[in-house]
Amino acid sequence: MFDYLIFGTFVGLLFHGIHRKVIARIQGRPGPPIWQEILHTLKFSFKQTWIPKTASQTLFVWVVLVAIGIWSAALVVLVTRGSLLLLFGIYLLHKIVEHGMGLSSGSPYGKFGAIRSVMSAASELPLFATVGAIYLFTGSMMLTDILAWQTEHGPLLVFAFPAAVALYVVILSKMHYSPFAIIESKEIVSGNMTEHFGVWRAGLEVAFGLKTYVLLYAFVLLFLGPLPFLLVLALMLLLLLSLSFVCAFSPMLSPYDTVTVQSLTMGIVAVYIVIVGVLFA
Amino acid sequence: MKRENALLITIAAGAVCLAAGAGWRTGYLAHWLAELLLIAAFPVFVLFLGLWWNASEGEEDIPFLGY
Repeated sequence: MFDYLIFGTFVGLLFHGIHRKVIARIQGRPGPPIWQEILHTLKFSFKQTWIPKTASQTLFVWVVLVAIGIWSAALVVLVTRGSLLLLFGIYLLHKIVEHGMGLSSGSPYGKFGAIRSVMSAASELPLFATVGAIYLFTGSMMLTDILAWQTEHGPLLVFAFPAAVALYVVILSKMHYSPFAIIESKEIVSGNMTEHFGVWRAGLEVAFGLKTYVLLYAFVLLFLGPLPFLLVLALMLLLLLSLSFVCAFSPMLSPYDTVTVQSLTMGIVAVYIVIVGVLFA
Repeated sequence: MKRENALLITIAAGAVCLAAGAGWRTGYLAHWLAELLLIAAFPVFVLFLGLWWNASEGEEDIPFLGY
């Protein structure tokens, strides 16, 4: 299981590098090498590290441990084919991490990021819709049952396409440089991560690498079913490339537009769920 | 943090991770216990590995004083 975590961390960081490279090439720049995010993480580990005087010391450090812990737990849930509800709960905990990270620093930029994180709670709404739609089709929240259902009937991508779009929007919301990434946009420096530097930032990079790996892995498992692992990795990469294209072509939205788009997505999928629910009843 | 302390915590957390992983595979540990140990120890391992690399060895750099 430890090897899964190490593998997930490195692949997640490599995916971040590929994401940056693709965005750069689309925008006509050479971009960094694809292993740059792995080097970044190592580099931050060697940088001088301290806790800002204005920070809440306990929360400032604990939030890094919690960030790595929750995404490790999410990977364990996926590998052991546990409950989708647990995965959903972990995703909600990540919101608390984002908020705590910004508030603990004492920096105004961090606090702006934290407040934007609360405002963009709408990014969690499409996840409700996804979970609801999957339950309507498969009658279970357990990944084992969801995978078994897909083996029997075919990929959920075909049966519940709007739910897949909703989860796609959720993953897009959490990608770096995404049109919804308002909590770390450049007008507030690095947003809620501004004051986390050195080893603390390296820890956060590990957590975010794991997060990207888990979210892409979850999408493939939930909507394409049980596949050989190498094929799963290839599909995760394809999904990532599509997200990179969206990020490269979309400007950063304003906080209010972000909430509007995410709420609209939720609304559309909610209508879809009601229709499907009526049809199933 | 002292370099030796950071190293000790890194080794301890790494050992717990490896033991939990081995226990999970071989069935010596209940799955929930192995998973709990791993989830608790992995963040500590990552963070203290960085703090160990980062900790000074007593000889500080001479600060740049300008021209």
